[in-house]
Amino acid sequence: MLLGRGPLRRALTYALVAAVLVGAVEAAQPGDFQAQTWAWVAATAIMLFGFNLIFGVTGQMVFSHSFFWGVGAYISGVLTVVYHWNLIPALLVAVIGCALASYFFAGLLVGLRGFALAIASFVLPLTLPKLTNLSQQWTGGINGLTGIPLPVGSLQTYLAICLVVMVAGLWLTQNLISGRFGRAWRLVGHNEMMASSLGISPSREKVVVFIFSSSIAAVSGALFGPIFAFIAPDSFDLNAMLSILVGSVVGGAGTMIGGVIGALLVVEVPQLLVGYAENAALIYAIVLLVVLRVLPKGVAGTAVDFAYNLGLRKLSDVRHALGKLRDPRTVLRPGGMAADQRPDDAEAAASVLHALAPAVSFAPAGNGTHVVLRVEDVHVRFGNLQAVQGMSLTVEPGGFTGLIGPNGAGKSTLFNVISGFVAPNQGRVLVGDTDVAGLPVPSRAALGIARTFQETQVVGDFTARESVAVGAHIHARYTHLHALLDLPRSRRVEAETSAFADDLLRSVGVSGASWRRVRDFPYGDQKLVQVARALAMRPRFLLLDEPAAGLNVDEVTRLGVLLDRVRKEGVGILLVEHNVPFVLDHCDTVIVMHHGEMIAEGPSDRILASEAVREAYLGTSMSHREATQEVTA
Amino acid sequence: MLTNLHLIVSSLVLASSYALVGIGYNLAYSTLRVINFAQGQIYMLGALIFATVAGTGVPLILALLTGVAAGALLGMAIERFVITPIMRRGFSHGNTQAALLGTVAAGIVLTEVANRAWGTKELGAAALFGSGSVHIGSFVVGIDSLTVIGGAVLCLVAVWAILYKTSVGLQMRAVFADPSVTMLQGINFRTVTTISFVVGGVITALAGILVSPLTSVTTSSGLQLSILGILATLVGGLGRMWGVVPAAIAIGLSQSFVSYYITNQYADLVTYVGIFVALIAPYWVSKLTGGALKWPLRRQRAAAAA
Repeated sequence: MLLGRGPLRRALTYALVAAVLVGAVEAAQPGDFQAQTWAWVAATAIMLFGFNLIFGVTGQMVFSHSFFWGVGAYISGVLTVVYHWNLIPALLVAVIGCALASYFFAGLLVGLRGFALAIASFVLPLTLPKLTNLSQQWTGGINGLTGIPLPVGSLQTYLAICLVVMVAGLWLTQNLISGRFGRAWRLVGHNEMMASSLGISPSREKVVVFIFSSSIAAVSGALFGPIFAFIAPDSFDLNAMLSILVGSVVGGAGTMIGGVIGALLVVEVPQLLVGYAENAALIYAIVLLVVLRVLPKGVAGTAVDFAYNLGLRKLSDVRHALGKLRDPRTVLRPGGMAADQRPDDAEAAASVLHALAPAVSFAPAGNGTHVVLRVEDVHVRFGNLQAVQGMSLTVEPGGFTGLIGPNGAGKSTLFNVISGFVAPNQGRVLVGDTDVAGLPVPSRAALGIARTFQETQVVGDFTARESVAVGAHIHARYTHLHALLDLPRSRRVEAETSAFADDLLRSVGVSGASWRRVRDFPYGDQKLVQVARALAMRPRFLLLDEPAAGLNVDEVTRLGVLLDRVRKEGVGILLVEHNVPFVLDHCDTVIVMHHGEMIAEGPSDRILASEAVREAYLGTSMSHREATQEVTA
Repeated sequence: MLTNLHLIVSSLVLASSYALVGIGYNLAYSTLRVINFAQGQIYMLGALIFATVAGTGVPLILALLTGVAAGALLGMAIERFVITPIMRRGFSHGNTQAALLGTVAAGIVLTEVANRAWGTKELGAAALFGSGSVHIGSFVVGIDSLTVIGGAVLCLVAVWAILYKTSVGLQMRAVFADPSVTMLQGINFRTVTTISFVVGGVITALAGILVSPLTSVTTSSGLQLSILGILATLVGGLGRMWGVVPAAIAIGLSQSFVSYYITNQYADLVTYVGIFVALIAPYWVSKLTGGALKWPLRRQRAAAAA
């Protein structure tokens, strides 16, 4: 891209853009009205950066943004008008005030999602006129606050300042979302369960984004006041919220540059229309309806898609030129399906994997102590259904335990108990000596329990690399400040994470390019991406829920080779799988569940011989015995 | 005591409109899992059209039918031209969110169109059964109030009858329970969806028509009813058809009593705070009691989601 690659170069490019904008203001010397309009665009763009963070990136439908925008404008306005403060300290106080207020509200709202969140946050903007009425002696009540001073000599200089702040805001927010935080927030917006299974606490992340978003709104509000020297409650009412929504959706809610595009559209374009002022709401609403139908990702989102599709087309050209040489499947295609050929296939697969995969380590993160996962006498009841009944099992580091049983045997429920999605009615789950009862899902993930889900869960527009890198969230250690300022540390960690993700993708045998979106991958690759994501956590224990279901023969072979390698490096694997030959081939202990109970446990050969297992799988004991009697008779 | 009785009657009048709008929300939610935020505007337009037509001197029943027809058409139009097309397009975070935005926009379009047609003037229509009153001792209750409450009860009974006594109702309930399985059974999902939006539109417009003689309706009533109706729906449990009735009565009671006994000037603010508290209460009640105590009205919804 034009913006270059190095962090310094990127920062310099943004600085250059800011300088060009300031130069343009100097050269054009816009009249006061023009300067006001353009400063308004800049302030709106800043506000949209904040809104896009919470709405577009994190996917939370909140209608409270105009409220925090107004609160920021009022705090700063009152401080400058009534107490004659300078704008800069006033702005800082406004930001702190909004951050605290949004922390308070986010804390209250944290349990809400979806429609309830939308409505609860909808209430906040409605209270603003009442609040200004209550504080009439400072805020001027319904008549608004007049005489907000310009901090600098002329509107033109103020415009230049606003533009610089806008470019700085774009740089900061773009930095913030392009690393681990952006990935985590997007994941929270799409799939809270998966996020928590990776050690990301959805409620905590939502509170953090909400505070960021409201603080940014406060900056915008504080800058907005001096432009027209006047603010009133209806500058921040539902119509204002509507214009925010229109700007965000039209510009491209999931992007930051979309904020600038959206601001241009909601501020500049209507000025060109005759009779705009009295028709603003109607125009906004109609535009929103049309855009939702025609261009749901907005201008910037559609541009990103376009570039991506262009890349895909180029890729397919390259593929075509190279023929099938690059595709490892052509090497792996087995001649037949006979059981005695399987080891050969496995060897072939292993050699290919070895050639493709760099030396990526699956060794668990943290110290090398011998930690055992123990499940002790777990009972789970759903109403009248006894889903799990007195299950106990142990997963050793480097152990490979298979869990089989008919549908409804309680295998997935047991998984949910271990990873923390279901609380057992009785029994304990221990990681080493730590009883994890009462620990929420993300904390268990941090203890080293990783899991996959039965069905593939494609996360929005995530690329393969992002899908895996998000699994390394808890190991990518840098703070929001590092991310915001694009400091060397965040860049180094990001580079490592990306390389690790690419290596993992190749190790699990995903053939496509890692910049491709997971939803464009075939089903088998999507499942393998899930395994790679769990491995990116560098877990102590890997819980796999039917990873082989829906894979073709090659993919199953590759998965087996991979899992054997993973366990050799000290990861304990617990596998739920219906592909019984696969389980018998790879697991050193097999546990058979039926009606929530363990009916057999032991090495594969003993399991095969077990009468109870045959009954569970092949039919009731009655018919079996009758059949045997008939034969012997 | 007498004051309280009068307050109860006025709360029931308020509750009638909230409950009917809430039923409209639930019908829409049950089929497409979307909140139709333009529901309040259907209420407003139903009332305004009824009052305007009635004002021309035609028989009231004709005005009533016009208002109801408008509600039916609006319900259908919002489903066919706003929600369904948007839900078929991709959006960054789930199509229900985009559809919700779409209905917000549709609601604003309807409000703005109404503003141009009627301005800000208040319209009151002639009551359906005159404006007399019933005296029971010193307790006086207006026939118009009784009309509203009785009408609301009739509407609820009608919705119940449609849902439980007709074959269309059976199909609707099947779709509410599980749209995809229902489709596999050969039931036309689109038709059922449209019918439930039409029924929702009719019920909501009727709410506006019933209430308009009593409290004059303006173009801004739409948004107000959207918010209060949705509050009743959320407190009663989204998708729980009859949960809105007790919730609506509770909201009506608290509104009347707060504005009479505590404050009139800030009655709105108190309502908003109340909405906020009611929405966050379920989470905090169960959180603070360690999950021992669950908001009774939400349990079923949580189970349905799981």
